[in-house]
Amino acid sequence: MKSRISLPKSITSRLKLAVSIIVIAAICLSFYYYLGLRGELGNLPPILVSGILVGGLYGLVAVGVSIILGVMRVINLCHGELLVLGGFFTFWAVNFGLDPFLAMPIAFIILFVLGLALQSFIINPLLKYGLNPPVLVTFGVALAFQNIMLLLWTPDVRIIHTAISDINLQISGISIPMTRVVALLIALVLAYLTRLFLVKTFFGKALRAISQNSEVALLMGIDTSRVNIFCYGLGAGLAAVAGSLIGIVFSFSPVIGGPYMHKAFAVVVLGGMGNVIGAVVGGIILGVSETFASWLLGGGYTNAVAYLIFILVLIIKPTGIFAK
Amino acid sequence: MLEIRGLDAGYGDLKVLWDVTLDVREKEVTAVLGPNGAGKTTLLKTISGLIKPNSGEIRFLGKEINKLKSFERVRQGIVQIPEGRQLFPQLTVVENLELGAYTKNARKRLKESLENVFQLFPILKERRNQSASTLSGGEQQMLAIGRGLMATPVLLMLDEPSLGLAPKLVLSLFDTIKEINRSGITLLLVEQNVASALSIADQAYVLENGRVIMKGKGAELLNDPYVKKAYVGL
Amino acid sequence: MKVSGGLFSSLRSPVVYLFILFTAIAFLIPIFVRTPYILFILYLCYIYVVQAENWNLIGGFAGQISLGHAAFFGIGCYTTAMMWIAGYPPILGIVLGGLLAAGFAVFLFPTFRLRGTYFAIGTLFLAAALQGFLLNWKFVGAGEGLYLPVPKEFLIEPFYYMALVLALASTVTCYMIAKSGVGLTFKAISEDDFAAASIGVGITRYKVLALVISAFFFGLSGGVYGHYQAFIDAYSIFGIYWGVTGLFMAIIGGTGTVVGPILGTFLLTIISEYLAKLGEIRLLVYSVAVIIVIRFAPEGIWGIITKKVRPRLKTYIEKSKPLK
Repeated sequence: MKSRISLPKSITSRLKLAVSIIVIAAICLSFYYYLGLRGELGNLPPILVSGILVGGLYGLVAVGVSIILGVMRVINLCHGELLVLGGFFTFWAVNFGLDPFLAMPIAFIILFVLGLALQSFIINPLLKYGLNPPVLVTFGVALAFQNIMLLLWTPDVRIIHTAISDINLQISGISIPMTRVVALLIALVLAYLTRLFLVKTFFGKALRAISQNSEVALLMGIDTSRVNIFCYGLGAGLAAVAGSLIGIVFSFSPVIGGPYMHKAFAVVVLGGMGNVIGAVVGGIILGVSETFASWLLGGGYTNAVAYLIFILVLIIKPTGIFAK
Repeated sequence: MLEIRGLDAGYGDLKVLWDVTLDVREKEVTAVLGPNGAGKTTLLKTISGLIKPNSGEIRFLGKEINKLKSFERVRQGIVQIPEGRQLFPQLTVVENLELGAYTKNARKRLKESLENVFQLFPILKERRNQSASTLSGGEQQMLAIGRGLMATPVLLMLDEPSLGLAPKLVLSLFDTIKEINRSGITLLLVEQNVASALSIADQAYVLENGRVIMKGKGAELLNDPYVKKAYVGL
Repeated sequence: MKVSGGLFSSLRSPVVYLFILFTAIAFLIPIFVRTPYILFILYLCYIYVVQAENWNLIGGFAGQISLGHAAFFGIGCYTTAMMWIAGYPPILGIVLGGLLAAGFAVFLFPTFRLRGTYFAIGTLFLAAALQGFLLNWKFVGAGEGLYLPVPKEFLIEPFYYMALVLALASTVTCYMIAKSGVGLTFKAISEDDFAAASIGVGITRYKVLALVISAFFFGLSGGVYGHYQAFIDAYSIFGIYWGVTGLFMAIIGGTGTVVGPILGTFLLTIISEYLAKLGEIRLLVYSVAVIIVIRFAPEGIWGIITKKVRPRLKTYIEKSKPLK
């Protein structure tokens, strides 16, 4: 797992990086110019801000996926459903009168425990069979969870109301919903805490070590199964908070897990597997690109942006923009 | 200290070790020699718990350790420095060393162990905050050994430490290994560099095709005609 | 994977004879059974067999899990539907559907640069992207779906035979691949693709081969399915159901073998007929069944039969032979 960003060393990759930066800068500049010509520059800041705010949420989901992928090399296909479960928990808690921002840490803990259970009973025993069985089983779990939720709670869309849901901040002429700002802040704080955990604590270092060389980690006396279990719980907990935030800022239903997970994957590929900073930055890039796309092309194509980013990164620099 | 009796081990259907019997005596340097593919690494992996043996027993300090998991064996003091360095490439020198002291007991003595390692390998102290992947081959080997020492081993097992090192470095490497032994740590050394290994070994075993074909005192084997012909190239 | 020494290795193998027997029976059924409903169930069953076998080709044999094969199914289905509307004979539409689907496999090639994990995500994206794209395309009915020109008298028999022939073709193709050198290469790749690459195997080439063949057959299956529908819509055709059913059937039956997927298909079809009354629960039952099978019997039911039942049967038969 990377804890620092570095430049690529070989000439060809430096060239690729330079070319990509130049191309992106050119696109941005011509876009800016084009907007200026049409007198629509005024629209730029709100869209940028909106994109960044959404991107932060994507980043938070991606951090969870990235850690699980980095440490266990398992694609957690039920991340989306864990996310929705977290959202549901907060939703019901709010219905019972609990403040949503208090409910979120509890959602974290509950999903953390659920994650621990999932990993120890279902996923861990499969790790010795290779990488495919664990991935397939998470897929099974995802579908099972989704269908259970549909049965129990119907496909109705729900929103989590908070005390600040109706407040809009006015900053230099742009109207920003307060919930989005708070959501972004929470997402960034959590990402920062996760990073701190990975870099400063012994256990966190063990996590990073396992992602780099899992067999040798065993020889250091690290109980890799226990670390795997914790890691999965952590991912699930992060998903729970992300789901709650999504429920507050947007809306949610049992079926939205999939698309968010897809986007998280695009972000993970963009930012590099196991890279927390990469996940946040990548999320913001995705968020901004999506908002622009939706402004220019209309709402139906937002999902295509994630796919495009995914393919482009794989073609240009498969290990992600922040990897060595 | 370590008693291996009738060990059969391998990978799935592929059997590598056949009825291996071996003793590692306390405070001594025991060498295991043999050509590539003889099963030396498999032997170490089995002792460390990475491979489950098909049959046979391994006793450490009189107790059977077959049921113990890898990390539990490290806690017991059995530490392996694997073949090919196997560092954590994106962590710094210091972080690699700190991780070596992951077990509770080792962690208590972390500062002390770190000082010892830096005394033994001053260059590591110099490069303490550099990423492990930026070190040269010899320095990486030092880091690997240092990391193993951080686990406060009682039995330290080294898998081909001289692999890929320049001859000058090999000499100083074996001096260091001898010094580690003098500080009270029992060593099990797996090597292809027979001459160097036998020069510091108290006891030695020769492994070929997964079987122990020879055993004796280090100096004796050095003069043995078969060993000379097959391994020392005379 | 049973390549040599397995049940198919000699023509004296009982399974081969059973297979021929069942195929013969299958061909004769429509002569004796007139109930359209039963023929329809069997027709669907054969389509699932095609999907299970071909998912197994890339997912079981080559070890690259695909979660979005619904994309290929959908391409085949929609192509056939459009050709049908345009008035072309069914065979043309179906074959074209298969070829187009195989062509779309190209979009997944960049994912082969990284290890299998990203391929799975890529397939998810492909299916989702195509779904999104078709949902917005007026020409194919967008969100409202497409009504197909079903004639007043629409017999199931021709489609029954088409599906049966397709299932037969798939099984025979997979069998021949499994027994050939290509099959051995697949097995090597699925076990350790780095090791395979290091001995000079052009792994990408083989992955591509498996993918293209499976995409082709999935496309054909989409065509055979689509041509017997009165109405199709992108939401269900490209949705999770078709992406997942073939996969689940292959896993439950046993990946990595030729017989496994067929066994899994028949088992699940029978079970789902019993559950038809419960309607929506189908996917839930499938997913739970898959979780249980992967967790406790990763080789599938056929794997259990070959590993546990057959040897015991053999010893039993040996023991009951009279002494000479």
